[in-house]
Amino acid sequence: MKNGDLNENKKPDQYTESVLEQGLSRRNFLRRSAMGVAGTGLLSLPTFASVGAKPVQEKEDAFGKSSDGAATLSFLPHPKAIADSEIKATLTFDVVVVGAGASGVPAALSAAENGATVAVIQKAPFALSQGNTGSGVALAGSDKAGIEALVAKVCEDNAHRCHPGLVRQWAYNSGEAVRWVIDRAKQSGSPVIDQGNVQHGDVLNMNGYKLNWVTSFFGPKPYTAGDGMRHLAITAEKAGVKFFYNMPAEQLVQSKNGEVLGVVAKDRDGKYTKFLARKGVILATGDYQNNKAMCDYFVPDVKNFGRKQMGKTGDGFVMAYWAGGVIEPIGHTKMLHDFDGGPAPMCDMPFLAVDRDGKRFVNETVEMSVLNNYLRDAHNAGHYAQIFDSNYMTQAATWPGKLVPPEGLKNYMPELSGPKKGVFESLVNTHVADTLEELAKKLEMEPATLVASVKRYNELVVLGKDDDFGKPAKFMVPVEKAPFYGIHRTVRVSAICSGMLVNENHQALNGEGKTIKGLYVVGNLGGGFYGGVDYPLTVYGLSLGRCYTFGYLTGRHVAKL
Amino acid sequence: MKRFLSVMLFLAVVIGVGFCASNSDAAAWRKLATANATTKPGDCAACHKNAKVLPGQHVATKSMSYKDCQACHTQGSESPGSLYGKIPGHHIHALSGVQCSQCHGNTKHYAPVAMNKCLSCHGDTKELAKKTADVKPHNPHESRHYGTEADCNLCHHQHEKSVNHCGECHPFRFVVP
Repeated sequence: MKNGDLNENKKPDQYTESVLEQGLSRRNFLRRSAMGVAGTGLLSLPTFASVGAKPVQEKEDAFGKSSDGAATLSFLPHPKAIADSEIKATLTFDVVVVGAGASGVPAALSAAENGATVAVIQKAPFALSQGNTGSGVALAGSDKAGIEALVAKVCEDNAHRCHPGLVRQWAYNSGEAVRWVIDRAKQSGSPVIDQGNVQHGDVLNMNGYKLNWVTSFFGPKPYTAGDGMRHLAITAEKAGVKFFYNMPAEQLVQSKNGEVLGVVAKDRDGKYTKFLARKGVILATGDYQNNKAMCDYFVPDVKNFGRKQMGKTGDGFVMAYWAGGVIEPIGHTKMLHDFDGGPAPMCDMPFLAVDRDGKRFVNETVEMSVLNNYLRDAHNAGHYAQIFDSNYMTQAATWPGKLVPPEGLKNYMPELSGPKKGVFESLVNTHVADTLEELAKKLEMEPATLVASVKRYNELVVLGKDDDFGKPAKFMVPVEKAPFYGIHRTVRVSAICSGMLVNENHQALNGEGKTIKGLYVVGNLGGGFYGGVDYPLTVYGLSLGRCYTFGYLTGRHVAKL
Repeated sequence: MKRFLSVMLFLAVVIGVGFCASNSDAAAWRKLATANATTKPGDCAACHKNAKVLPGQHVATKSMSYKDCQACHTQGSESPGSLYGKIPGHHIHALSGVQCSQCHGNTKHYAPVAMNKCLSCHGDTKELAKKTADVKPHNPHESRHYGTEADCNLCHHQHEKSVNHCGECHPFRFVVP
């Protein structure tokens, strides 16, 4: 990689330095308490006790601690000692991947294609992932200046809190990786297609420079990247990867000097299997959205929102932390969407929007991907509705996004029976009614409030100025001609995408900034790629594109060690 | 908001049960665990003491088994309806004659039970899923998320009220035993 090398021999870059200083690691809080008491270096570090050994500071080490060492964190329980007698089998591979998702499956296949013997341990009964689109930059047809402009834009979207080197690594390698995922998934019968530039109208030109895209589309729904990863897993099995399902990883096996040697996992009978890794363990266990205590601590803004995933309990965070890894500090990036209630291409169109009570609450040019910030309370809990009338096809014709005509909207209406296409039938939530009162009832809101909101909105339209929220006048169109439409959207947590501190090889770093031998982290468990309040939607498919790319690169890297 | 509060209240009660083994109003499962050798499972007062856990005019349950309960509490009946979702799973187990040790083993320190223990009585997951294949609008035992392999305890809690896990996102109104 020519661009953005994170050379660990150099002084740490500002991102890494900041996470070392502010993040959560065992070394970090021990160092601080040591500085307070007797100077650095005098405490013996229990960090690298091998599994099965009695922890040196058993009482204090029952749970992990906050970065200042002041708070004990119940969601970071010390791994319990597992006696050798409890281990029913020990299996050895070159590479052990924990988690079969959008990063784990590519990592496993990539490692196998590069000559490694590979095991994948998966908590669920099969590979899992979400979403449809994964994006990569096609180097052919892109200006280098365009790629750099894109990197700058993603960094800006991330509130400049990410590691630019990791974003750059995605930008320069994602075209190859996404193309590879498409090819390998197709080999097992996946209907995946390369959508190229179709979804990237807004990012084909960055600051006047050209960009060209490779875009995997696992769809349409109900087929998703989850089905895609299951197809990719078949290809991986053919390449020799061994999958162990219904087998949650419980803890890492470490040598006394801290090298990660393998993983202990538990089967449904409650029996343990030890998976030893000659070259490395790749953690790809995803986020922690279903771990309430972790969410309350790292990203309390998501407290009242529903969750889109299940079983994402942050197991990898606990394992990596106790192996000495560093968790990015509080203020993790969240991703909350609803592409299912109504057509996805209409989600950012600035129609009148009302909250769960039927009240206008925002300048509607605020995108769906960040609207959650206005709907954080327990009552709204992510619920809102887009309201428009039967003139929408003409009045919104030039707006950003893509309109779906009335006939197509029927596909998103739960009250209309009959087969639906390209949607999750139990998640569609679009309604039509001859009166606003009737529409309000279908949207589960107070009719009088919605009627009053529409009345006020129509007054502002006549006025030609949005005195209430300042929305551009060109987006102020009346809601007056029946039938009336409402898309009831409910943004819920798709993912939390902050994680463990890693270097350019996606190898975990410890609290001193040194690599942890044998431990690699990819996917949403990996840190450094985001950093803003919300996941940005400038590039559709950035998340899956990043997961595929880093899995692909890391599998290859570890296999070649 | 009301619903949210009632959920919070319920959680508070459940958490209370977990931590206050001696609280007589909310009988702790530990009591049942220690009492099951000598106490009849239908004897509510043995654990709940004076707390009112049955409707006012309910017949005496002291000597009842789950089969006796089902004489009135039939599935599909309007009233009194099935007991699904009304009493915790371990009550149904206990009333059916299942002892704590049959799941937890002979130990003083009860640990969570591995899922295969459930399957050892209730059968293979794929066969279980077949039994509910006709449930509308969706088979609760087969999903995109878990296939037929969802952990039983996602919904069927034993020592607290069971939950309709699917209903958290989908409009499926399942009554969960």
